[in-house]
Amino acid sequence: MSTDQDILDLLKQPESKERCFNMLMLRYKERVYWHARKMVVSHEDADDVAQNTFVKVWRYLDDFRGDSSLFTWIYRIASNETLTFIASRQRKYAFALNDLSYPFEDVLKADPYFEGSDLEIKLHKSIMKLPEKQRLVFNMRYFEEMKFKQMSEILDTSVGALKASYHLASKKIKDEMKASD
Amino acid sequence: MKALNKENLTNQQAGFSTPANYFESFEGRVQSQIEFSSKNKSQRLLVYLKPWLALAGMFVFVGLLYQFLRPQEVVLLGASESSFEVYYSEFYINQSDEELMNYVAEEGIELESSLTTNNYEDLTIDEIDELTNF
Repeated sequence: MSTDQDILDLLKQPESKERCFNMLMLRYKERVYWHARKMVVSHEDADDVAQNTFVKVWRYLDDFRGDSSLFTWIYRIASNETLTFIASRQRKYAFALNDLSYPFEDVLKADPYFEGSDLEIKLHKSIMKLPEKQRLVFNMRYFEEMKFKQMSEILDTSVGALKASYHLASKKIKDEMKASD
Repeated sequence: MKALNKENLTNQQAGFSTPANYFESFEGRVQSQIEFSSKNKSQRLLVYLKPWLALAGMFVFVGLLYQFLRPQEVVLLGASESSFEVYYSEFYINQSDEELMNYVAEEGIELESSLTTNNYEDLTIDEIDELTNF
């Protein structure tokens, strides 16, 4: 698989844009998808977010100046797309007449693309109770094992604030899971 | 905490999975979406402009309708600035005496008898003014 440097070298030649874009998709599609999936939970929604992320990458690829790494740039787009998607879904259902607040456990159990145990359902349920940005921080650190410095560049937040946010999120999840035992 | 220990997770993605071959066909779907969105760019612009164009068209239509259906201007004969008076005063001012005489003869306009009298000496200045004031 090509490295970020190979892709950046290709990006300098305008005629190679399409090839460069395909290399980017090959390199980052899975990470972008899983990043979105843990936030929006359903496969269909995560697919939408992942596709929209790469449509934006294609649209703004010419403007990429290399001020940050490709990884940081793509993850920033993916995080913004995810948060925008969640906000638009919340707006959409805010005025819905029907009660759409199905129990989260039932949603996960009915999902054909979820194979987790009861413990994992409990874990995801606790994570879902966190505010969106805190959830993003927790997922990036806990599941993706990303360094705080990298997260700081992506989310444009100080390392200290991210560490505090992660610590608080972990505590909330532990408390929530203890309470539900 | 048992759940936060990653050894307890079903898989690397904490229980989530994808349809078979999902990632293999991902690039193709993104490419289709890019083609679709660029094709629809001009159509989206038209959709955006459509209500504004309709509104502008409606204003033009109402304007034209008003032009055709508005009531005609009524000439008020008694009004000092009416076009009727302006027309006649201009007619008299621009005609020579000879033309005026011909006009009176052609139209068969009866002049007051006092105008035809030869006894101008008996008339006062006010009476002369009154008789000559058309």
